[in-house]
Amino acid sequence: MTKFAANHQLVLSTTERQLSAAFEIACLHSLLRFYKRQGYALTLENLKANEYRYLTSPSGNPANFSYVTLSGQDGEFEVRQQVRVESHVASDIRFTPDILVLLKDSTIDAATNTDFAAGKRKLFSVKSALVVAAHECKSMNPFPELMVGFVGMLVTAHSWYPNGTEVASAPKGHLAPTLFVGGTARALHLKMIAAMEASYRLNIVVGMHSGTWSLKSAKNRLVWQGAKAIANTPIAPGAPAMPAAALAKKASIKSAGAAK
Amino acid sequence: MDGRVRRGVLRRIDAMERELVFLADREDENVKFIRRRGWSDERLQLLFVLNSVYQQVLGPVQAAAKEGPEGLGSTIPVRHGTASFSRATAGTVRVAMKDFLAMVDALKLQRSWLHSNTCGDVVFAIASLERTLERG
Repeated sequence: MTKFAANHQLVLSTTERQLSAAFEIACLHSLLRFYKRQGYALTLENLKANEYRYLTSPSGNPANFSYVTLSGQDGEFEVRQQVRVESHVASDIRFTPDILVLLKDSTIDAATNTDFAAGKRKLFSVKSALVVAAHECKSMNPFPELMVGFVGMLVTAHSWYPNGTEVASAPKGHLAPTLFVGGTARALHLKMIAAMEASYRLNIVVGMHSGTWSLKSAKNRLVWQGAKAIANTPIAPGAPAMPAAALAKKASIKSAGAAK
Repeated sequence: MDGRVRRGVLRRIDAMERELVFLADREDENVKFIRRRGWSDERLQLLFVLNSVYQQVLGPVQAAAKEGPEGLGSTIPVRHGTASFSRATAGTVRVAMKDFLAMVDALKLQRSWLHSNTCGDVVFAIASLERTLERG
């Protein structure tokens, strides 16, 4: 063990923050591989000096960081990290999932709020109506309260939940909101996960540390049909999707109403 | 090892050791059985250390060493604050993992035991193997 420690100081000297980052990046890779297998075309956007600049905290301006564009049969989307979501439940409910799948060109609001950094820094956020799926990564062992807690994110981050017609269940498409967990689960917890996946439109993937990377077990998947649903008018095949700006406007009207 | 990570690893080892004492005091069947099969507390503690280092440090780092699509994490490094995850980092991690697993094999421990969450899970997994061996 001493020899191992001496030989691999670099790996072992990783900080807590880097470990958490490593796990999050691994989940992102896994998600992107999943999208590739689902037939989406992936493009890395906003690279800086040929590096993918990962947004590590919601304080950063998303415009300065890299993201991935997805292009599939149900439209175009963006995969971003650490972007704050403003909930449709009430506009004061804001939180930051680890990974977000958003409609392409989603407007990221930059507001000045005296309750945030004394109004000196912008409060960046995206409306939950633009969120296709919010994913959370936990590099720890699964436990019931962690899993049940994810339902809160499902409810508050997705205006389509529970019965919105913006999304439809499908065998292929987006991964439904997913909790990625590093540790493995016991039989009792596996049963709980199966029951939760049957009851809610979410996935709980455990055992990422031990090599669960294919996401085959994540059976809850979605296709986006939001433009049709939000516009509330039928769309002819091949018609362009409603622009994100229009969706954002509708979302802001909705969230303003909810805040009253 | 980074101070906070080290504390996390030590906390986990301590929790596993305390659980072993608790199980032994309760005269847990699996603990009694594996002790009869030659498992000393020292050997179990060694496994707790390896399990904790794997779960707290190597597991997450190894996870990031798997390349993403479109060259992400390999030809296109991922910059996360001050850390960079690239093909070079992935190589370093793979070597560390290889050496770590060689150490686990040399100690005649099962690699799957590294994934157990608690002392009870470890003891259960060992007892299952020992029962199979005893039956021949």
